[in-house]
Amino acid sequence: MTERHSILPQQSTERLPLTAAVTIMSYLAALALAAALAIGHASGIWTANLAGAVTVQIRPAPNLSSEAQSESVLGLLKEAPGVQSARRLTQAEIRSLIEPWLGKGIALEELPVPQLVAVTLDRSAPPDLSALGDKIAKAVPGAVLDDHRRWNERLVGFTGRLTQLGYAVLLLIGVATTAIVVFATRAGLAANHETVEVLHLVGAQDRFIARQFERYFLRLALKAGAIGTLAAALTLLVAGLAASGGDMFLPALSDAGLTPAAILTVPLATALVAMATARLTVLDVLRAMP
Amino acid sequence: MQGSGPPVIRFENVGMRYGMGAEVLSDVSFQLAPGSFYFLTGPSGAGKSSLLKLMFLAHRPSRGAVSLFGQDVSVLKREALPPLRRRIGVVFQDFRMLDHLTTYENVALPLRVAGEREDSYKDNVNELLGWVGLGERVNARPPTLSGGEKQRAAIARAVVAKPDLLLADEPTGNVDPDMGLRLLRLFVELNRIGTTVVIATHDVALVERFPAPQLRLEEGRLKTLPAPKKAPQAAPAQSAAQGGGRSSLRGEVAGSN
Repeated sequence: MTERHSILPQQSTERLPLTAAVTIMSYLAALALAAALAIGHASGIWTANLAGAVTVQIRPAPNLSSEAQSESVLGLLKEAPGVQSARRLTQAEIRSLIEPWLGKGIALEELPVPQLVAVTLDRSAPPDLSALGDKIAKAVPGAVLDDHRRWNERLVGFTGRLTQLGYAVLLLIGVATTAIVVFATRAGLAANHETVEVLHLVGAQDRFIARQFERYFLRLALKAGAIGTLAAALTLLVAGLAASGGDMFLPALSDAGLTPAAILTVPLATALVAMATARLTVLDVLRAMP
Repeated sequence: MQGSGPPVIRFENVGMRYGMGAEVLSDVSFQLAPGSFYFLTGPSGAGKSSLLKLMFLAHRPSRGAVSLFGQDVSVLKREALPPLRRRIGVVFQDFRMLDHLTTYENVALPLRVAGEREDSYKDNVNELLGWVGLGERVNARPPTLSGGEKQRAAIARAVVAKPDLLLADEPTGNVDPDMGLRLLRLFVELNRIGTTVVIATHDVALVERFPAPQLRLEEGRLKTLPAPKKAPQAAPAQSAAQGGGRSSLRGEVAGSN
């Protein structure tokens, strides 16, 4: 008969807790990766949207009607090169912009709310925004071109730091996983020292023995990594569904940048880390043997 | 058959101690010619197992020089040991079977470790298992084998790769006399095709039945005794041990074919 068993016993008392630990680590890693990717992706989308649009704010000026102000601004914009379209926001639109901050039922008329003109730029040939801004400010008192740059810079800075934080967490999870596998490999070597001794005595090279451990950890980590990643994907799906009520951040999370390829890197990286760690640990321990 | 070339094993003034304890072997010197056959005898505690451990590289001597197949083992790097060990088959007194593998897998282990493909050895392993009377037990795990069955599996594992040197520690201790003789004939057969054989045993009947020179250990010191002068049909190939450093040994055992 030729049924081939692994040279290392596959059942051990450490197997269950080890699988649980690696599963949890890959779950956390998948969440951290998803967060980092989604934030980076969302930030990119926001930036791109902002880059294609500017706003002109028109505050009331002493000697001009608001109608005259906005007419001059729209006139200027229509002649300016690089402007695709310009449109005055309606009162209803302005109300909906303000509502989240001030609540429903405000009397807009009693507030010094500026008028807003939304300008869409031609992205292939964007205008010189500072020249355009100067021109508008000079021609129409009270009109200011806001190119969102300050807001955009802050947003990019903030999301950039969040993304870095996500990758740092991922790195920490990797380090912790490595440490777990080092401990488990050493425990496995100790528990199987008789097997290792027999293997040596029948002429096994250290790397042959290391390969047996590598295989064990590769299988275990692939399985644990797949379970953890699947659980993370379900978590994101549920979170995405729960948040699809109109929040601006979470819907972006659920679609943004999370391709199957990106998600697959988690179990694969987990398995590779576990395998390489097991190999190096075994070789290290065996080298110290007589 | 007796080969030529460097001695298979050469010990020069070897001493061995465990930790800081007293020496269990002192001033052991001998060499075994290729194709020789020896019994290793001596009372319990005389150091037989320790001597075997030195021979199969499980231990390093505390002093003196050991060379195997012409190579000084004290200067060998770790990576150089496995190729030497593959030329040595060992039957352990406590068998050292791997309990999670089948009998077949245990016996085939040296070949698997050496990277051989299973289809190249499967038939040989099964045939060998049949020969040692384990044909029905190929899929059994060692915990379900009797002492005698384990012993036969251990012997099969030691000889499966046709080693250049076979070391056996009490290989017939757990089997009935008939099986003991059968197993010994296996060693003799191996010896005929060139394997150097050293069998540690207490079994006086066995030693009388197969006249071969003896390495006799007493209180950690080694004497070499010549083969008794009779030639039964199953006698192993004659041995040619040259005395080592000790004058009392020199010339005592001559290859008298």
